[in-house]
Amino acid sequence: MGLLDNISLGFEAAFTAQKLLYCFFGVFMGMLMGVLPGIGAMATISMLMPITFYVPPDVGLIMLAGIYYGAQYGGSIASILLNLPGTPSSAIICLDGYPMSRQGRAGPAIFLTTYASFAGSFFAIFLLLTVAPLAARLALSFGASEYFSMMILGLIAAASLAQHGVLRGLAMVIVGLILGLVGSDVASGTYRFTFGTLELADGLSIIAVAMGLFGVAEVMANLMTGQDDRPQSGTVRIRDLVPTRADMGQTTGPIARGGVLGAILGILPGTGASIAAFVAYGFEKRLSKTPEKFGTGHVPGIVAPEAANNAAAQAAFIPTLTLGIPGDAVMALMMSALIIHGIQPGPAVIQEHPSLFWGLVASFVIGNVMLLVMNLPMIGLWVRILTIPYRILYPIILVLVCIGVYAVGNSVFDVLQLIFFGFVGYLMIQIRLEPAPLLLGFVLGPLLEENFRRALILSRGELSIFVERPISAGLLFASLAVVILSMVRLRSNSKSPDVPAGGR
Amino acid sequence: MKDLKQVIMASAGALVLATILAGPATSAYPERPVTLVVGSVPGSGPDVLARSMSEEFSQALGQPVIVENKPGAAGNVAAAQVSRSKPDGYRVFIGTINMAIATWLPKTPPFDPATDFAVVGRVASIPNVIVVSPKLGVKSIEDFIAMAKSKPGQLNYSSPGVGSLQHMGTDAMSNINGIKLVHVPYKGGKASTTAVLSGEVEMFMAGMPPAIPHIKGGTLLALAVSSAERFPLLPTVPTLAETVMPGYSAEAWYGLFMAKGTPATIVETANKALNKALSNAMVIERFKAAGAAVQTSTPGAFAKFVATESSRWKKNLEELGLAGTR
Amino acid sequence: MLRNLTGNTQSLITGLILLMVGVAVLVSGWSYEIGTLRRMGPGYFPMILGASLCLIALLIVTLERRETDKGLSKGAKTPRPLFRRPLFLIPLAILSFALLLESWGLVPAVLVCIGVSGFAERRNRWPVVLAVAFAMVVFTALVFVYGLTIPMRLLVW
Repeated sequence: MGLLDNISLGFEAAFTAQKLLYCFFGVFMGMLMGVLPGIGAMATISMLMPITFYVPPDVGLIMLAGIYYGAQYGGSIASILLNLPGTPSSAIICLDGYPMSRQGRAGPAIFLTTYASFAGSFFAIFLLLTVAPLAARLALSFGASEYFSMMILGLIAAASLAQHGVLRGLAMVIVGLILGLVGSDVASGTYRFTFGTLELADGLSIIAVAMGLFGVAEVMANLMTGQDDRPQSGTVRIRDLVPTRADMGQTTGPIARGGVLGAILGILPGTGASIAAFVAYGFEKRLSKTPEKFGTGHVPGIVAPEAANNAAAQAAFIPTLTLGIPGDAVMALMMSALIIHGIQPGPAVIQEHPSLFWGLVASFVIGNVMLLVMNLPMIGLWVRILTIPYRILYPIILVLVCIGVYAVGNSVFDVLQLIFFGFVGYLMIQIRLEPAPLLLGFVLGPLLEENFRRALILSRGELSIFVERPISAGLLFASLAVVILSMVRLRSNSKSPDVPAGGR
Repeated sequence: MKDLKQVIMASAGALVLATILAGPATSAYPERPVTLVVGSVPGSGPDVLARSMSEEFSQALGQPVIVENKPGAAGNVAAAQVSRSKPDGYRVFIGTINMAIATWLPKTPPFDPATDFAVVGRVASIPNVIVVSPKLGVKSIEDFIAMAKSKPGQLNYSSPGVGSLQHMGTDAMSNINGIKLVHVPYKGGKASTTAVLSGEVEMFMAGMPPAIPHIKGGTLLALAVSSAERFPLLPTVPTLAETVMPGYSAEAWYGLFMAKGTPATIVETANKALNKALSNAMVIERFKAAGAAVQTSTPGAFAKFVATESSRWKKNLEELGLAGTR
Repeated sequence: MLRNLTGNTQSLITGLILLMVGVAVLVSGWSYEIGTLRRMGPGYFPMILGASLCLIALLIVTLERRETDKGLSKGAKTPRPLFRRPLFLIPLAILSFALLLESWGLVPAVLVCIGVSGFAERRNRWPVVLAVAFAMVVFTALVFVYGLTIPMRLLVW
């Protein structure tokens, strides 16, 4: 059975009026909901899941999948326009996307992320078509020690992308890891730092942390400095919406590298997308001849992570469908939708339901084209949000953030956490500490500890397990290389007079 | 124009008055949508069951049923909240065996499952199934016990956490058969299953839902189930009771609960609607696909069962030295 | 504000804050069992993290001091005269949303949240704030309650 057979089978299966309609509905809803802070793929899918009971399983799956990757497109829009990331992977889009927006270049930024999303998705779809069953095996070759080493690499990358020095980045990663300790410890179940409240037993709310540190803190900082009473851009001209040729010229390399990284890391169940986005960003910054431009609205800083996290979102389907291992909560939800229909995701799914599998892959292609076509004309609309004066916009942001945080767990307690992290974020802006590495640390913290401890239980206490296994050793070696490179760069920078010291 | 305005004002006033008066007078439960609270994230075991029956439950009640996810502390955040909510029958909690286990782990138990709820009725039960990789080279549960005996302290087993049903079940099996296995906790049943698939651990006493696809696909081998009777979906797999743990049975159960003090008439109404929904062939089929067997009961019978389970697991946790430690 | 301080002082403050966090973790994590490398207790990781944060805090204070102010004050905004209203009103707005939502409903929660936060900006006049508040009541009700069917009640009485 050749590649072409699979592709044609897939497109044959996907090109029915019903499937196209549901695909469109899925990607459209996903994109819109992705824009709303906090309301991501998860909330939308759990709302629309009952629909899938009444349509054939492949149609339902195509719709749910559309919501999932559609939300990835939408997520970066709020990050660019308002500094409101819904997930850690879109938090990194804030770093360069929001500055671009402040320079009046929100239009090109959204254009470029849309383009990068599209290209990144295609890398992963290509991977799905060619090596899906093989790639799935990679997911199983990752044990506790490999996960631990990969997370170390992700965290080192996050620390090194900090703008005000590796030390500060590292400090933020550790603070994030500490915040991740809150809740019940996986190995023993002990409640740590919960201050006796049952609500904290599962840890802090990730959405509250992200929205507090980025959104609420930004609102407070803007109001305190009082500089933001502008209508940010008076009129919107078509010319301001599309990127310049110079912008486009900077995209090819970063998108290709981001796409490949995302496609590979996305296969790994768990936190593939966030790690991929952070590593892609860190990687581009290392490679760049002008690393000081990152964080000031630099084009590779948005396209590389965006390509990476969309590629990861598509690749995440590989372990879910071929192994029955869901990478995250959304994938678990999709699996249960299939199971209710009597389809057991697992190694047999490609053989037993070829038209379902290849039809889904084909629908990714169709859905991504739809998203691209749909998104580009909407850029003008999104940018128009910025013509609203800030003094009217910020109360709206605040209400949306509150509802978004509440809706994730239907919990008022999560909204209260938002206040705390708003204050913390404001303080961090004042003393030049960055929230992005903290957020990755927070997300990876529990996993890092869990896998570290598990690896040592499995090795009966031998630390050598981390270097004896080849993949783990390779990842640790790469982390070490990043550290050494940063130190070398730090030294050479402090010698040359024209580059401001501590700039990175 | 002035007249019109007066008419509008007067009718608006009358409407408000009517609503106020009508409110408590006609209290034929249910008169507005009922919320079905799930204590875990969308896609989790209890969530799948709740969504699989919400449509039919709603038809039987004659009001919409809204599924609300309120995850936290193995479902006990939601359980504690429903237990203390207004006893009017509009917040119904789909409780799991965790209510009878996890509540005894914190230093101050958030509730007592036997006394702090109005018990509506049983929904389903899901037995555990012992799975190993086919590559391990054992064909039966007896083989596995023999292998464990020959390699004391070398085989690993996964579980979704200390004090989980799966952990305590495996512990009981080890004690009865005098074997020594190393416990490796994971986050959730799916991750624990993956660990067996990838060969990181040798064995897992899994819940049905994450294991079934792999058993059917041949990537995992089922050795025994934990229920008293054999499980309909896996008729060839023996029970633990008939093999290595005579007299043993432990299943994850699901049931509906309301706030303490909910009037008996409301509980009765909900129980009838629930049992009607659970007799629907579609619901039975969806449950089966999720690895669950539908079970119905009267409120009284289920309340008795919950009380027994609660004291059983409390005692078990005390013996393991886990009760009141968090 | 703090941003305007010279690099040295700022590094000192940053380091001290981080040091406080690290020490707090070490002190409050003391009660958890440390365990052994073979089977770590719940206290093992917090100890490592607390200690490394303290170490990095000290490094920030010592190493960053040698660097020039020029690089460090890069990117600082020029602050206007102190205007502290937002620091009280924004958290208060979120707090009132949280307190009102489940006991009174979405409508009052949105109204009060916007009402309170709106006046964090001096130039906002009440008709504008009121208009935004009512527009958002309609929008959130339509999108979140009717559209997304997020379980929130509009009005509780």
